[in-house]
Amino acid sequence: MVRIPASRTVVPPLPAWSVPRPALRARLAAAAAGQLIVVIAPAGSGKTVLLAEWARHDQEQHQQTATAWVGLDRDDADPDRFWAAVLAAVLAADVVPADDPLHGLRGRAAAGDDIADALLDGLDDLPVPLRLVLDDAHVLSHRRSGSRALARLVRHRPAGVRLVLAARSDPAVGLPRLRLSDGLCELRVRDLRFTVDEAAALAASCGVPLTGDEVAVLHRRTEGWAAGLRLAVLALRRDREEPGAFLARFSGDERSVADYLGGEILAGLTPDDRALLGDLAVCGRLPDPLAVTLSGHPDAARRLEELTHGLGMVDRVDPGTHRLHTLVRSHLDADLARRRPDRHRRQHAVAARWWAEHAEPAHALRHAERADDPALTADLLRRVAVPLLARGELPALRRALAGLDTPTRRDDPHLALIAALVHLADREPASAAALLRSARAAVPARPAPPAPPGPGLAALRATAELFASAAGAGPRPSAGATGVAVPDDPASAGLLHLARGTSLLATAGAGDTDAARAELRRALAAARAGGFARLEADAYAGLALTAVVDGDPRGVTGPAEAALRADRHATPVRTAGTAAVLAWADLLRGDPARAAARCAELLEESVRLAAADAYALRAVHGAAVGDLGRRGAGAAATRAAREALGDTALPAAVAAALALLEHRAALLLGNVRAAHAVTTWLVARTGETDEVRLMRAWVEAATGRWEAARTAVGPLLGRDRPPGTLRVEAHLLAAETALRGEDTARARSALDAALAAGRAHDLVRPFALAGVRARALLGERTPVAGFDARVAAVCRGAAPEAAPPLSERELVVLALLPSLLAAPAMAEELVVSVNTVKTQIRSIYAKLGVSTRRHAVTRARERGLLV
Amino acid sequence: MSGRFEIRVSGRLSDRTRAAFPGLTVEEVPAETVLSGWSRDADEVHTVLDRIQALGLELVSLLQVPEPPEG
Repeated sequence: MVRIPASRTVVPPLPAWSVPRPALRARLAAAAAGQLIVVIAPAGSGKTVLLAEWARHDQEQHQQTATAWVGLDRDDADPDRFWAAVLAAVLAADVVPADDPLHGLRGRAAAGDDIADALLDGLDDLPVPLRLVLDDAHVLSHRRSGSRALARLVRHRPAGVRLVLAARSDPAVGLPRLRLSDGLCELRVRDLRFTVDEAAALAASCGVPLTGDEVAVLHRRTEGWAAGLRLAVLALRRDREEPGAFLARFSGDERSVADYLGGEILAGLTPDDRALLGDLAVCGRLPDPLAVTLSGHPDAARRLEELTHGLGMVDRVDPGTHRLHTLVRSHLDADLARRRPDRHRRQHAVAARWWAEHAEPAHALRHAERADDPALTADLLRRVAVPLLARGELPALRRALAGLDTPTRRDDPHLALIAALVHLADREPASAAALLRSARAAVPARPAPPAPPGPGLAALRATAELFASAAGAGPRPSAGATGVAVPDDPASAGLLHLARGTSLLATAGAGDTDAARAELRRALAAARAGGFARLEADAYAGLALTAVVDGDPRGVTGPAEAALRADRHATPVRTAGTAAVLAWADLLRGDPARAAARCAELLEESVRLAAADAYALRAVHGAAVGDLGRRGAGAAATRAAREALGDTALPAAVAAALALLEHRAALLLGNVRAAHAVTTWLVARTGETDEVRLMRAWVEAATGRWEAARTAVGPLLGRDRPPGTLRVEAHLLAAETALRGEDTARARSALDAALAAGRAHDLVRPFALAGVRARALLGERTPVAGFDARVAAVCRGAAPEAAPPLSERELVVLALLPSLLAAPAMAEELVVSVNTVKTQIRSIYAKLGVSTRRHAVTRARERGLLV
Repeated sequence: MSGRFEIRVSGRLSDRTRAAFPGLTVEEVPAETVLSGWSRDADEVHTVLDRIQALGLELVSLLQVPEPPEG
């Protein structure tokens, strides 16, 4: 669990200049139980001070309600950190009884969501009333996951807890709805404005007594904005001049209040302080060693400490770290940028190098960008890009790469490879392919000192080429790419293993997944060793895909769920592929409802999914919807999805698995032509595989040619290591053909073989869709529990009877049914006798299960027989 | 959001504060200052808004200007 520094969970001390605001405190106290309290106003409006005053006042009055306080920062948008921070604050409030289960959560190494459940439950049962203040809640909104975590806390407001949010902007927690249901107590900028009396009190408490007129001028000019008032008073105190003169200038100036006052404050600093603070202003958070490095003063920390006690321009956030007052810092930073732009850039460059050496690569890249130093950005990228890729910090990489000009990005092989890997991670194979060509062209024929393309570059290149080839954006990887030495650092090694595994999976058939699985396990080990979230998620997703290749839905579930867990903060666009694989497993394990729901959830989100993921989700969804009874609609959606896929690359095994679903659906509708189209598509992608042979055997069976079906399925039965799905389907078809040939003994042994394979992989669905006679035989068995019982149940259930396919002649007649032609005219058109046409029409009606021409047309359209 | 954007803050800005917005055009209109520029993504606009907040400037409006890039 994340450690939260104690400084973030204490109620902040009241500054010496603070002015008591009893009227606002009373409004807060008057909020009804169960209402959410929000204090929303711009920076410097006095939100934090007001809430701190409220908490301290109650504490001094020995009120029952204790306060738990969290000062949020941007990193808390990660739900793991968010919930850890809330828990730390609750425990720090020191009112949770010693035997309360909440204490047990602290040591738990659980993920955010598990902590959240336990924490919300624990808060519900808390025997004492508690006020929970989340200060700076707006910082959560820069990531979707942060907003979601906050919304969850608001939605489940625990009974005895008074929840208070302070933020600069409205948090996305459904405020309008709460307002309508009277669930909200709001204080906004107009409420927080200082009154004239409060402004006078503020000035007096800072030792700057003002006349009534002077206060009025100050109040009018600042509009009661707390930070403005304070800066003005600070400037007045610093200058020790006649307040009248200052106020006259201030009120006559057209500049923005903060801008004017910022200038006054800077002008009032001693040259030494101004130089020191200016040098430090490029960083918000200043660990002492960084302050020393930036300022060049060994005693920088001591001087900051002095300033902390002096004017309140510097805060100490924890021992060894200071923070400049945001407003002052921003003005100092702007001042340095204008007066000494070279120095300003240099300071950012110094900060960039310092953060790069202290394990904050994303931070470092941002400073390098502000330093406007492409050479530094390029240098940092070469050092930190691979760990950033492994962690999944793509935005930082994209930003840094965008800051380099195109020739730099393209002509430096290292950078071109990094850019290619970012494009591949973003599923933009075409852009990646172009960069890979540049990288190949840019690698010098002979290693040129002083920076020869060392083993690091070779591994990076192999990684990018393997990923690209798997994504269909490059040639088959060369032997050099697969055989390159594995680098020592865990991020590079892990990515290389992942790339090898992914590349092997792209073409693997069942029986040759061992190598891919071994590579992916190595990638997983590296991810765990280095704490690389994205690498971990990708390795698990690869292992789930390996199980698809093996036709093993049971093997999919574990790694796929682990991948989604490791990636739980990622966008749905990123996890869609794994979700589709998981839905495929649900479907094959006999749970179409769950499969359909899983796919629908993603398909309904208005996000642009990668083409391959969208196809997989729609294909599984179509099959699941079919299993739930809407066969025609499901099959039509699946076909449309496949046609929309175009020539996007797809691992061969995935193409086969999805094609089998669609082929089966077509046959269930009696639509042999649609089934043929699927087979043709799969042959074009993967060649003559066993899946293609299975499809051909299915068509023979569907058209009643049982002997031909038996012959066609025969070779599939003796395969050495077929995918689980193929083995079960082949044996089921063999059983059905045996039963049609009255060979019950052979049928039983085939069914036993199908059951054995089905048990191993938890494959239930093939039994539900098996031939009528095989199903009847299985339904006669009465196992009490386990896999065989589930199979017996689906076989006894109202399983879908495959519709009898129409003959070619019948399809020709069917095509004329939507027209208004009467039977004699149709006979004339087809050059046959009227009787023949009438016989065929009757046969069509029978096969479609209808009694009128209109219903025949409707039903045929549903089944995709008529378009 | 990407494309051209226009942000209005109240009051005039000193040269010092203008220096905090390199790459943006700064224009003065009565009682307000207009900062305008190009953004590749929402992140860039957020960075500008963060800086405005940090400097204590009062945001009046934020507009996306529908206009194709020049050149």
